[in-house]
Amino acid sequence: MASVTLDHLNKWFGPSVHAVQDVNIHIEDGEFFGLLGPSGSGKTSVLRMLVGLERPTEGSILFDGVPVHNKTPQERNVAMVFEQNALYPHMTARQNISYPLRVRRASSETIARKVAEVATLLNIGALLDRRASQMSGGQQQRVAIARALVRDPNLLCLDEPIAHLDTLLRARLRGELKRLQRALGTTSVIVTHDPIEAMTMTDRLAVMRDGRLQQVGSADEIHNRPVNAFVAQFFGLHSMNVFTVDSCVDQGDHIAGRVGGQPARLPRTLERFLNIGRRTASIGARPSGVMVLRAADTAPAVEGFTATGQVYVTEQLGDAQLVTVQIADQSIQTLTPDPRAFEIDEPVRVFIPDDALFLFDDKTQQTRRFASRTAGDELAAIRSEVA
Amino acid sequence: MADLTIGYGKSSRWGRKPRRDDGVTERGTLLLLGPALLFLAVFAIWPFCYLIYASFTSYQMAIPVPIHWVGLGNFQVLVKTTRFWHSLGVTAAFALVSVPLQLLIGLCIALLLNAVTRGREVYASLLLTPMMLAPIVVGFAWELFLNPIYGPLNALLKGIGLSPPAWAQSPVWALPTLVAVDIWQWTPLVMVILLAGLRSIPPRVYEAAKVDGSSAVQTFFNIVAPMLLPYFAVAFVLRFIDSFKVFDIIYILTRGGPGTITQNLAYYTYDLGFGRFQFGRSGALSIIQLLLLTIGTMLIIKLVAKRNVPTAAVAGPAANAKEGA
Amino acid sequence: MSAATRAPRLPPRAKLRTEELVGSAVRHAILIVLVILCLAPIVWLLITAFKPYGELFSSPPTLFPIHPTLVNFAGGWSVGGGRGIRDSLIVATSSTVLCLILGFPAAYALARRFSAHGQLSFTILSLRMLPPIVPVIGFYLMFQKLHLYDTYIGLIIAYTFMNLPLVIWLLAEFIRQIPRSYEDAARIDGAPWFWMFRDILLPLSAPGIMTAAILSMMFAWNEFLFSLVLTGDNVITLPKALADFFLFQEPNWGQLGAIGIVAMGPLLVLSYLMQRYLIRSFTAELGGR
Repeated sequence: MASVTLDHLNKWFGPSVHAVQDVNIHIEDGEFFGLLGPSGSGKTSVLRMLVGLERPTEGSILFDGVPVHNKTPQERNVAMVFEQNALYPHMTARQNISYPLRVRRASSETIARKVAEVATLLNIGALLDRRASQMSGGQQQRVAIARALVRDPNLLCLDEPIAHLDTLLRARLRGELKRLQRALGTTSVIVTHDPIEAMTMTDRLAVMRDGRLQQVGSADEIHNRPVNAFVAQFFGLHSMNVFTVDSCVDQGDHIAGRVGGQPARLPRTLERFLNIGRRTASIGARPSGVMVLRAADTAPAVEGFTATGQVYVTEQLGDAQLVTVQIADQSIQTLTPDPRAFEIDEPVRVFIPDDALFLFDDKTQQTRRFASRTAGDELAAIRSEVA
Repeated sequence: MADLTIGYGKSSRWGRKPRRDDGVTERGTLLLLGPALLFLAVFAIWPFCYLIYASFTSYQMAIPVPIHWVGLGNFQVLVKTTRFWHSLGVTAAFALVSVPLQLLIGLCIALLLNAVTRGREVYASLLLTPMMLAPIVVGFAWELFLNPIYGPLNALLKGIGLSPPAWAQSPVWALPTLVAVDIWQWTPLVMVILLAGLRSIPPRVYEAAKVDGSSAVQTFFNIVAPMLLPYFAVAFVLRFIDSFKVFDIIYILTRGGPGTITQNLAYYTYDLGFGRFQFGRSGALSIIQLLLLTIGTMLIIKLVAKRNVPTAAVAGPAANAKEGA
Repeated sequence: MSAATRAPRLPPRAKLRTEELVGSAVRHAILIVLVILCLAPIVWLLITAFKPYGELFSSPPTLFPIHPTLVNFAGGWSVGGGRGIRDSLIVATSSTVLCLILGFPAAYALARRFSAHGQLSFTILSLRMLPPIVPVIGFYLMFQKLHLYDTYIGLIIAYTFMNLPLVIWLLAEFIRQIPRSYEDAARIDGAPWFWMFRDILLPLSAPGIMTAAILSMMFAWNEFLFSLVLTGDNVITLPKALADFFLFQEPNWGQLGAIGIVAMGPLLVLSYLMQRYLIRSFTAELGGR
């Protein structure tokens, strides 16, 4: 077990592809850390450099303060679980698990003991004499994790380990992996493109995009205080609504603006964040913070954003419904417990309370104002899924 | 850090595509590739130099006269002989008559097999037999089969009242016989390529065509034919190239005869070089063949498909063969 | 009652219409005729192998031997068939092994390490397009110089030259299908390169190696022109033995048939068994050309 430091890490593929750009991360000993990002964001390259499959073009990697980036994977004593094809197909589970030990020329007693230990830990004793083709996807991944753990690694790396499994199994393995990591205390890094995986399993995580680190922090921090519109939209159960309001004019008690030509009303509190010179604003709100109102409904007696549009589509999610409202050329999703059925093309109003409003710089996309409402019901709901 | 950057910069000259460096250097790559490339290079270049050298000289092994430079003399002499033009015609018979017939028959059989569900694999296996056999064995199996006196074919034909020719020994029938044997042996290859192509067309394509109300003929010309074209092109190029290689069955069935009627370019080259030891002429002739083959192949590629068929086809049939076969 | 229970068991389209039945019968009939055409000369050779000498030249020929005999197999073996099989085995096996030893590392490099593999493998394969008559003259002159004429080594070199491009190309295509994650996993597991090669790469490429070996073996086994030109009396491969026996002695068809069957039989059986693999690689092979 070790703490891990990535210091000004850069990776170039050929002269033109800058896959990882100046990444600095410190991972504590025993921490479960997530690398989150869409495909092509450079997260897998970071992981491959961590385990020693790739060499950094610039920068260094330190385990417990000791540079390791010129060492082989074996010298680093790292382990990795791959997304797919993780097991050697021509070997049984037992042969797969014992391979790292055989390579290290462990005695046969040691091998037998360690394999038995790790098989008990992962509850795969019955699978030991099967080949990969005779196991389900979930069983294969469990054996792959056993192979990773059998060598007592300094660092366990997981590359989308459960991404291709079906939904139910994924949820179960999420919980198992988290408990396992807590129990063993092995420093672990998971790469994933799935925000739910990242926020449910890890202690802290990093969001990456186009090879650059966007934000590092706990799930709560990133959810409540996303540094920019990309993180805000990428991180969360439902993507955050981000839309542009233009032609903003101060009307004294409120700000009048337009969303794609449609009139909209903004709370006065946004005034000091607005770039009045350009008179446009980039507004953000999570679907759970948006309300849909019919003409007859009265808006809550708080300051907020209002605009009118038509229902584009509704999706029933059981205990809530996702209503997509079209305002001119922009669409806004709302997640509402409102049980009423909305008709397609029905005219509605959209109301976003002031405490749910984010504001982004419409040029740099950096966050200029965070919603004051903290980790809402949304996050709590996701959390309960894992427990 | 700086040294690493430089180290990587050097290796990137192999290609601009993003590639993974997995700790094995480019020197390691050359070490892996080296022996095979060296072997191929030595045994391609060295004999080729001999060939070029021979073709511009009066190299004759049997006659102990000094070898002298004749420039293009060998080529000039060759193109003035009728034997050259005749053997060119025989090669053309294989390339331009036998190959198109193979393509046509192969296509028909492939379509037939594709329409059959029961026993397709068994039929395909049995129909592939000829191409698995050594051409020498094919040669004398046919020699025996076609023998005018004790062969079964002529016995059968006489039995129904015909007076069949002596096939390979007949001046009129010798070349058609060879072409027929060539078709017999290599149509299966065309068939298996086209069958792989047909099998790679997903059933939903046919289903969609059926739903759209397209007739069988329309389906073939509008849907199957375009999807089959890359496979067809590959079969054509492959068989065209191979048609220049025909030698063994001529050697066994007719030895180029009667007279020199069935000598193709390959046989004539062999006869010049190893029958008369005129390596100068023989070398010149093989260079002519190489040029004809290259030009012909390029013409076919231009004719049948888009610019670079072979590279395009690498992805096509190779990738589809899995599903197809 | 019984009709009512039986009716639902028939799927709606189970009853074939008459024209469909006729069409299917016609297709099968044509295919059977084609199979007969394909096999007739070979089957005739097979039958002939069991005919005693006296029956060989009867006119009209007998369809089945009246007194079937195995004497032709013994005779065929001693007149050169045995020698031919031995020499062909030596040459074909050695050149196949050499092809694999030279070809596997090269294929691995092309599949994994070399970004310009497209052009290079095309160049390698275009060597294979050469009509053998073109290199054979050069080989002959070169072998005379190097005293490799009429030696096993010479012919092994020639066959390796002939088959190596194909072997490299087939193996490279096969290796490209093997996910890289296995090799990555082995490196992380700490396997040195030789362990990775022996424990991971070799077992996973086994089917590809098998296919390449069989094709290379088959081409070397069937090849005639190289052995005709590059060897004399020391090395007599099977096709050459057959051709010599056929052309320079009074053709004893029974013995010829016997050698032919022994020479081709194992190959044919193998090719029927390996059909799937072979079809795949035949179709894959031409992709590169």
